[in-house]
Amino acid sequence: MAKLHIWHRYLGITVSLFVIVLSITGILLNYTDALKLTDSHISNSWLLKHYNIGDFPVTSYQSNEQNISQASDYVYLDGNYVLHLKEKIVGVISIDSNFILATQSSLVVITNRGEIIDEIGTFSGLPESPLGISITNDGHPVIRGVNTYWKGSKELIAWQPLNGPHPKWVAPVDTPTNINNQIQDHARGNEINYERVMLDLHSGRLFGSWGQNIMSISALLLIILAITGIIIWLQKKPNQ
Amino acid sequence: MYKNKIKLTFFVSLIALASLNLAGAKGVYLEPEVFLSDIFNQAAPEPSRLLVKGELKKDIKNILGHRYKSFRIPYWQKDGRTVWILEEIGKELPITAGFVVSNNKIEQFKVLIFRESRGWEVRHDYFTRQFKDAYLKPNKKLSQHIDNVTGATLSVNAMKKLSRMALYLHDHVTSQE
Repeated sequence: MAKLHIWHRYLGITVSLFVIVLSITGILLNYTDALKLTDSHISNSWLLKHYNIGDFPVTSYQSNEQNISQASDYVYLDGNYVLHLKEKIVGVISIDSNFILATQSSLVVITNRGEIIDEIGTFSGLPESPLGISITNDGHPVIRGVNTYWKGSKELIAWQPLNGPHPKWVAPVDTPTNINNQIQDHARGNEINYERVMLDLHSGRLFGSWGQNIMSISALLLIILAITGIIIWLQKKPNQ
Repeated sequence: MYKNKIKLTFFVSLIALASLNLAGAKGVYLEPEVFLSDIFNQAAPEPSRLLVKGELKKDIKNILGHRYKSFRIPYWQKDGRTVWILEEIGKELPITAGFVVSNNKIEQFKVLIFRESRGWEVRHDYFTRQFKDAYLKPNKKLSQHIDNVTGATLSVNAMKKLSRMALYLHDHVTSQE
């Protein structure tokens, strides 16, 4: 009985720190939405390095004397974040001061403040998924399909096959260093949210497989602690 | 021999669990093209586009709680029915849903593309069929109660908002004819 007491005490001391971490992170994870853990992102350079968040590849296009770039799922106008876009941009043109971003599945029309005016996919009027985009001398968009080039109306609604030579397809340009730095700062700072950190801290994954094993062992010790606690309580005499 | 049996049972259960998880994973459930084609018996009309401005913009903002993602909304109209393919963010990423509206009531609703990591249960028929025949009350709320799905509250809310928006847009388009 005395031996069990000693074991119970030492076990308690050993797991106490891990139980505190498990409990606090568990409570925080229970209130992910209320605490907006998914909306808040870490900017700590040590943690970002720990998660292997390095430089993002940036693809830039020049249109209307502005730089439109994409890094990860983010779109930037002159280095300022304007839009979240999952699909990869294959070219950018501008019509009537609006930008038309050709992605692998649609044309996204945005204002110069990054507000989406329209998105035209193959189900809503686009004849084919664009592989490239260009603009004719008279200001009509042309998209490159697999075997056909399509010339569109300026409103991007009516499309017809383009016969004859096509204009030069829009190609990426080098990203200026200052814009690239601005983009890297934003993209890195929006990659890992606090929910992810809490989950990794809770499971121990933040410290690799060692951390995970330590948390698992702590959880097992906690179970043993509960069992030894019950045994000690049951063996206690009523007058004690 | 006995140990091997235990191992085998463990791995089979693991694979079964993994496949269950995959069955409920995010993805494209129904291509918008296929949805339109099914609705209009392979003869979908050309899309029209509704410009979101003025009163319309204000009302949509009231329904969604924020402005819609784009200023132009495509829709398809034939024989008194309108079809709307709309998007709304559940928790972090947009969910694409298709609505068929006729006589100011929801005739059909399907989740077409689900991109979120949680809340995919809203694609199931047991959830979507609750919207059948729902109409918009004067206060722009749905005429019938929609049961929540545990763990998918944000996706459920997003789909309720989109259904109200589809009904409102149908009324807006058809009342102008």
